[in-house]
Amino acid sequence: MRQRQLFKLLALLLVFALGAAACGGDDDDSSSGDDTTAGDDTGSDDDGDDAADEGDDAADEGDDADDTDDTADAGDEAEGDVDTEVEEEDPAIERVYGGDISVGLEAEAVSLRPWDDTCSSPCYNIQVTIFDKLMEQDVDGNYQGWLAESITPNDDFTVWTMVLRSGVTFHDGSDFNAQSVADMFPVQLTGTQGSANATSANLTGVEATGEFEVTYSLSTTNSAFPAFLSRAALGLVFEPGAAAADPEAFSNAPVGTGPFMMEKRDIDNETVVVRNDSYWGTDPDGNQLPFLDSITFRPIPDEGNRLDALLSGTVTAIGSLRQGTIRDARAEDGITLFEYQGSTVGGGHFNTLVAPLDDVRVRQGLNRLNDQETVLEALGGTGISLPGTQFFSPDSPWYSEAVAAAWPEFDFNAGKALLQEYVDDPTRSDGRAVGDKIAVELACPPDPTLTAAMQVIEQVWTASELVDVTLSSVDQATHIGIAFTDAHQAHCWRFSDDNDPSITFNAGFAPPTEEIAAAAGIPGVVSPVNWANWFNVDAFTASQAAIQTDDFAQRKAFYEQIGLLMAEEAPVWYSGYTATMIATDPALLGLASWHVPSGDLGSGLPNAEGHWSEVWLAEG
Amino acid sequence: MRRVILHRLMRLLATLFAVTFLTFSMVSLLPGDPVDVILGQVERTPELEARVRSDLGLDRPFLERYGSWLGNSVQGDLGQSYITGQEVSQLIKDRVPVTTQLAFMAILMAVIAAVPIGVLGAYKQGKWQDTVSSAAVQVALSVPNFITAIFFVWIFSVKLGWLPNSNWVRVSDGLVENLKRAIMPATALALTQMAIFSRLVRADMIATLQENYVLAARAKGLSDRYILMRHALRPSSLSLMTIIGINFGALLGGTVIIETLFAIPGLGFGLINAIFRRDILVIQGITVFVATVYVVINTVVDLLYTVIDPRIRRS
Repeated sequence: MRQRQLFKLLALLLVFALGAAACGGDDDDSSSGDDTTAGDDTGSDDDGDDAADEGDDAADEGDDADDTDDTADAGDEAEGDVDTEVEEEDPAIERVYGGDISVGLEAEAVSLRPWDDTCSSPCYNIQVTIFDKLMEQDVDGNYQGWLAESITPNDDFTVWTMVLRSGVTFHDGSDFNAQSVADMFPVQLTGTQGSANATSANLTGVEATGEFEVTYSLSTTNSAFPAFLSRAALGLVFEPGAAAADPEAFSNAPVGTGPFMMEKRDIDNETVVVRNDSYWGTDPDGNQLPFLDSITFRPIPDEGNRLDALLSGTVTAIGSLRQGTIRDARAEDGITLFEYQGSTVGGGHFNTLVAPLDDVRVRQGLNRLNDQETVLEALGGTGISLPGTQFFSPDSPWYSEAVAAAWPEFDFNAGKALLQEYVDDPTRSDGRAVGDKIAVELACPPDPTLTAAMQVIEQVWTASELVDVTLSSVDQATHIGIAFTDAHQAHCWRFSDDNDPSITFNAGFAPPTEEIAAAAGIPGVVSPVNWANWFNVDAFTASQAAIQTDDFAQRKAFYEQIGLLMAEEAPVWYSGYTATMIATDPALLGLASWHVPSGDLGSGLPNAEGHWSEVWLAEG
Repeated sequence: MRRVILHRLMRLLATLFAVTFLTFSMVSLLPGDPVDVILGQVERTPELEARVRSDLGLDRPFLERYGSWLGNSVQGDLGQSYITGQEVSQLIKDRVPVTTQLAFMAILMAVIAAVPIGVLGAYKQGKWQDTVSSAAVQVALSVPNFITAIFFVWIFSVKLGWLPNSNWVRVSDGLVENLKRAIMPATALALTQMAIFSRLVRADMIATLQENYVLAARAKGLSDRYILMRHALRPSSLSLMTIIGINFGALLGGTVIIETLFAIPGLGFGLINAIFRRDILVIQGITVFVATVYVVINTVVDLLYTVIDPRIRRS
């Protein structure tokens, strides 16, 4: 009898739970969102910004684009694609002080020393709450002062004089001045990121030439130098005394001048920052920043669970670099999406130093056999990401229509003809017999959708009946290591970002080996981050010429020239531009329309990196 | 008894030596370099790379690195994380309570559910109760725990909004909030354990119920309940204890997927992150810890046999 009662009770409980689950939530509920299945990706990825992290989740042609009113407007280029348009928050909405929010990030920021640690999207989200930058990019891509009030070059762009904002203090109460910036430099040189960036910028010295005047000396001309002062390694301002005294401790108790201060650091669980009441910044209406009392950053690696955390109200906002997650989030009601499609473009590089990829016919042929639309579909980016043609998205001021037109489009027969020409060439570079197939190893990390995308490429290449493709899969760390050691053939990768083009192009197209540098008459100029090992003297010359002038039109012409040379020699292939998103509870306002101190709009939310100082909660 | 303990201790040391050496070798032999992780995609110079390698001690030969690590470890110094700079021993200390709690909750829930199910299945062998419970156990055994976990999240977090699916709270920061976050992952882990335990209990009970002393007890007119609890369950629990010990140790290192899914800062989450970051000393530290616990638990279980079964003690 008792057993029977127990069974009845269990059955009732089960029915109740399932019934409640089926009925629970309301499609019109504005706060929690609902009516969805969890995202299905149980894989996790390590650091967000690393190579070839371009998408995930299974292909799904169905797309509920722009379901939410707050989704950034679609661009004109393709229906539903993510646009980079940044909109001003309605000034009539009352700004409210107070409130605590939690933000779900795709990974932990393992360390918070800007001069030393490799940083990615999750890490930048935390760092910009604690540290201010010297310079920052506005909505038009120009570099404006943040802690700097102005920066002026000499005639040949080798000496830059920066005037700093006064009245700024560090979180420990010490004053920020020119000596702080000068004292940061030796610390920066001790760090991996700082020293590498100083080398890239040709920065040789930083000197305090007044209480609030700093002079930067470069070994060679660089008209784009301010771009480096907007990047973490040389641009984020930290208290140099604390950093030098104990760099390890500083990582968990960083001291900056930013709008929030470190409260608690529990690695792999939570990082809590609280309002800096002494913050110098105001919004364009003169409201003291920041609005929020505290932010808790949480690493939630699983894409599906992170979105569920937002839908269930466990967190207030989430970031994602995955097209698949954007697609899933678009299908939800009751959440706000801030989408962004920047200049980071997915695809891969050919190692142009190894046969048969040293032959332009093979690279061009394989590019013609790259069915971008199908690859994007496999990545989950259909209707979200645009097919790539260059290192700049169509919304970038550097985008070139000429390069887009010149880039080899998918054309199976044309691709096959080019490969056939190579296969039939008695002097073919791989030493195989005439008529033998080309052998290509295609490598990518084992992300499910990347694997699906690589399989699309493999199938089309193989369908030519002229290529034997070997797919290989290694984890992210190994993947990067292989690219550095040049032990690769075709390698999936992600290129470029929204920074000044010189940051990607100068190192990206310098001679890959000492022999090539010597042959080009520039011994010693060697770049280990020329991933494709492609060296074209005209492209290199153009990249160098582009930092001799600050005239935008001239600079754009140089980068366009490089783009055209790339279209001609095809050292890389593209899938699509990387769409990213921050999704929030609708009560969270002000995220997209952050401003530089001049009052101009900031550059938006590239790589799902939020600027949290101008964010407020509608209910307080 | 002293000889048994000494023997076990020797075996523990030998096991730990083998585990540490193998782990160190395997991680070192893996493709991928911690230096690449640390430097990322920056424009590196050979000098910079050499400096980082030297700072980490990676420029020394393998055996020298291992010897140095072993020497420091026996003095309690497991080194520092290459990536975060954290003390490995502190990192383990922070994470052990989290994973132990999950494993303990999972095992406890599993045992509480498994024993009645197993006993019922044995007692009602071949009847509908046995069929239903066996089918339920089969389902629990077949469904991977992360699938169950995703289903739980869908119901209890997204649909009902009852339980948070992340944002771990430590016990010291509030027991109720901690339990709200632990219950879903622990239940997901418990279901598989429950299925294993109940099958074991059922099989052992069926065998025990056919023993002569049980038949004698029945002949004496003792109630079924008394016979089951006093005469059958205790001898049937020997294999259950063994498997609990083994599985508890296994759970300490086997919660990787569940901890990653729920973003729980335990040993599994730490281990998988360390593997992705090629953080050799953290991998090594966690592995040694798990191996030690595993061997110790099994030793304790072996010793407990003698307490439970007087026949073993006498032999």
